[in-house]
Amino acid sequence: MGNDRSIRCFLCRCHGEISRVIDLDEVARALKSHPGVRSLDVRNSLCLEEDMDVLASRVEDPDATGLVLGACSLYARGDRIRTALEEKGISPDTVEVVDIREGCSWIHHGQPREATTKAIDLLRMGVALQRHRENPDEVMVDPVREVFVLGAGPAGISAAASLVRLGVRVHLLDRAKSPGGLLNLVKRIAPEDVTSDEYLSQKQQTIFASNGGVSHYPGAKLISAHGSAGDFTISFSSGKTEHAIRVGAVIVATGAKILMPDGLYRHGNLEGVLTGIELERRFKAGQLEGNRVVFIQCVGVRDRKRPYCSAICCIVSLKQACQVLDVDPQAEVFVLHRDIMCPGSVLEKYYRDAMARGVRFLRYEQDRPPVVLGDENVDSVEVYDALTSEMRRIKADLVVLSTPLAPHDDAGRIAELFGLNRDEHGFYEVRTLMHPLETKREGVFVCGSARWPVLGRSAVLQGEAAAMKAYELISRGTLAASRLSTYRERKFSLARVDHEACTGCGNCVAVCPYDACSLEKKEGALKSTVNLIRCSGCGSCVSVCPNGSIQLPGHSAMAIGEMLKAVCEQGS
Amino acid sequence: MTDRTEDSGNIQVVLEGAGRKIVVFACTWCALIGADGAGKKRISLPATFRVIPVECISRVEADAVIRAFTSGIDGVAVMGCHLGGCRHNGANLRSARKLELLKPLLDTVGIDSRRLFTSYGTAHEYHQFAQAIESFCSQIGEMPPVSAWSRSFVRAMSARGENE
Amino acid sequence: MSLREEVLTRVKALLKDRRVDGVLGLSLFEKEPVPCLFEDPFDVDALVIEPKWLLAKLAMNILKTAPQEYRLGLVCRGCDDRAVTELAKRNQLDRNRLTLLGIPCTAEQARKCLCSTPYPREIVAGERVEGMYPMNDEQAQLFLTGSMEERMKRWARELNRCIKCYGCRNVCPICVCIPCKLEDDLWVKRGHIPADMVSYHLIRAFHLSDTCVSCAGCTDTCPVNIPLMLLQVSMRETLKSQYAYEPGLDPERVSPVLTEQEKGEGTLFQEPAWIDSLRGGS
Repeated sequence: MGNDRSIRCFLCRCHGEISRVIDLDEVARALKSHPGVRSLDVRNSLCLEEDMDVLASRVEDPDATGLVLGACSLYARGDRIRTALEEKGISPDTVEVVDIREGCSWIHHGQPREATTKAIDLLRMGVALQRHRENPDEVMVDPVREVFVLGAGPAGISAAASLVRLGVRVHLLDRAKSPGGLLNLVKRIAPEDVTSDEYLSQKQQTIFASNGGVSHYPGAKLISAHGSAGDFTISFSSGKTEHAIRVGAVIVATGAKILMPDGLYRHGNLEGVLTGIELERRFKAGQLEGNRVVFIQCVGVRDRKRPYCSAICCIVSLKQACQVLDVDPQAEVFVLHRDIMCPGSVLEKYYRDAMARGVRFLRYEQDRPPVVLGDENVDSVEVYDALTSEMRRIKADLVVLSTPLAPHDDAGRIAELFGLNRDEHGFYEVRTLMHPLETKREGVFVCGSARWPVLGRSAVLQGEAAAMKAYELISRGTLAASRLSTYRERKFSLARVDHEACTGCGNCVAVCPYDACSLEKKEGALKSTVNLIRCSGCGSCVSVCPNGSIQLPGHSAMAIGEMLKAVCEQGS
Repeated sequence: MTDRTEDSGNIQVVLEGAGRKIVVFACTWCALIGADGAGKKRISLPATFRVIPVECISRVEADAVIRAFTSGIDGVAVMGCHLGGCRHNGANLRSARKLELLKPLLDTVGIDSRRLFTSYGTAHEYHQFAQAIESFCSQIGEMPPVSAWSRSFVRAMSARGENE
Repeated sequence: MSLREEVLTRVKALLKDRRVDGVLGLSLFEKEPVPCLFEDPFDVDALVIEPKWLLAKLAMNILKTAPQEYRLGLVCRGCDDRAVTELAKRNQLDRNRLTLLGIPCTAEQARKCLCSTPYPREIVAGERVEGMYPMNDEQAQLFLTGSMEERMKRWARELNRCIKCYGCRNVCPICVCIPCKLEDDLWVKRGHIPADMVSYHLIRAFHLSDTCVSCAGCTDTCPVNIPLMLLQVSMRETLKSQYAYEPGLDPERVSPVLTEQEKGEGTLFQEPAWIDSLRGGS
């Protein structure tokens, strides 16, 4: 650092795309007089092989500490130039690509003089950044080639089956005695119309024929989870024994619970008022009595307390309505709904088929819910028909309440163990936008109804997808922490603490979105330390540190300060 | 270099704000993509702004914003993802709170808080970015240069000297 | 019994019962008040409670250097109480080793400090007086209202007097960092004339935006009478109105700039009266 001329600059004409607007001669003059710039070349197209070779050969100069390229944006070719240089052995940490095409010549084509001034500014900022860039700390991680799957429902079983087929050892933990999850409670599964045994048999075969590839622990209870991506230690009890295992990735497939109404629509007080899952039990036992059945949808959901749609209840009720008709084709079946949610071609057909078979749909309003009448047994249901605006009384032998899936009661505990966030409804939160299985914690994936209520087929799909994500993480051999991300090629920079200066105030711990910062006692005083595997380089900690003792070495406060200075100095 | 015709309306606008310095902290996941898009579409924009890419706007220190103003930068824009859509689990929300808290302080001492432009998720598309930059640059162009602020210090100081 | 006598009794009892190893308060030295650490009950008669004197940071330093088992009593006012809370939240002192003996400020003192809460959460003696709302003070209004140009001129006149003695930083009960950003050339240029006092004061003010306990120490200390605490007023108002947060009042509450927004209840659908009967869920 200091005033040593250590930066090599290359400017790209981009065959005129840049040089047509920006006076590169003037830029070159201005930069050559910059105290940090060692040399400067102007080339025609830095992204082509011949120029790349020149670049690489110039950088072999041992006194040059960095490269600043005036070229196009990172999203255009800038990033590719960096990657290509990396293949030639030049660390991307030493290459700064300054965008003077998309960010300058193309948007200021009518103002060549201003564009030239701006290009000089931008390049000086790039030089400032490169001169104050330090290499981040790195740790190497050798991921354990084993995966922990929590929950043996359709999602967990699918994940385990996929992984074991790839030769990965899986630990499959379930609190239930037998695998299958909620599917075990159901006679036939919608919309495929098969039994749960048929549904999961193939995958279960894969698992249990895997010759020890999958260790299945039924009736187990999770005790603790420590560690980070690539190396978690998880302890749990199964029967009377306690186990501690080391795995490289975790798949949370805990599913959801079926909400039970408490006295709602006189459930529990009046004979004949059932929940959907109680009806399934009767189906399984073959004890369906009565042929006038009324389904009530959206029970305890899509209201202020649970303002979400549980997404599966409509399909489940349609299935059950048809099953009633299967038993007795003369049955009278009503579905009282607020909206019927059957997206996609398969489910839409399911809905139409039910209608064609004579299931009758009637819409009620949220603030005028149906009322169940009867003394000891259900007699009828009184409902305000929102479409015809009249009260109707429907004779009924059975009233089936369609209740939603809700987060498990211990979802909070599991979230805490693995460091996951939960959404406002209590389901596990995944990353925003394009990362639907990844969580806040690198190496922990969520699938199935644990992240959102889904049908069996989606649970299977997500379980398989989560397996691939876990495989991606553990199968690449030893990795640098900065590459240890399942959603991007390379993390931006990893934070570093100056322990001399750290006051131990804990601001960084409070804000870190990845729980990467923690306080540890060092020589009697609390100091922040950064878990490089968890750190993702967002820089939240830097901006709340009262005295700058935590920094992103690749993008330090010093670098930003010098960049601001570069903006101010020009022209003054 | 080509000659410029001063009577062209477009250039006139640019010249009004000329000499102003504007720094844009752009999140690489959002506003920087908007900026890139504006470039690809070759939308003509005022040349007063300089982009500093950041991984997340939660990286932007309030101190750096203050330092920018006190060293003569006329406007600072902080452009990140929409609140709730941060790649870093809501880090930008805390940052937003912090920058919102800086605004009253700037107002207290007479650095107009409109000089600090914060945008969350409103500059992801190229046209959004272009529109945001254009209106911010023209707003800053209409305000006196921030250096007038520091110059007034010197004036106030000399005025005090004369009175005494 | 006067307020001072009541405090004396409490302090003596604490020391006699060995509930604390020392009590930090004020005593007179050649008729001037000075902070004093009382460890012997017989010395306590020298204790005085006036004037207002910020002792929180001193208490913190005593606890940092004393043996781990040393317990300290502290005669404190509202601002010191809040400062202790904020320092404890930032791991600068162990609240369990500290016993507070809270005393209220007088109405006159509250007015002078523009203090909205001129009493600690718990007081051992005396009467609480009403706090001041800073914006009701005429002098404060002068600095906090007016056009941008007027404000700028007014503050320029004030900040220009700064001699950069670092008194405001040193007296502040919350400022504990070593090294400090205000001594770093990156943030505040040193060795320049005129000094970079705007960066200095704005950075200092913002660092305290969510921690300032409005003790008025900075204003009191300033040798050139810059009303520094007025820089905090607008930020404090914002915290109060937007997040109902006041630094130092609640030891459990994390500053809103360090936490994500509490998620509100869904407002997508109306809630019928019968919904509370549902069991389970989160």
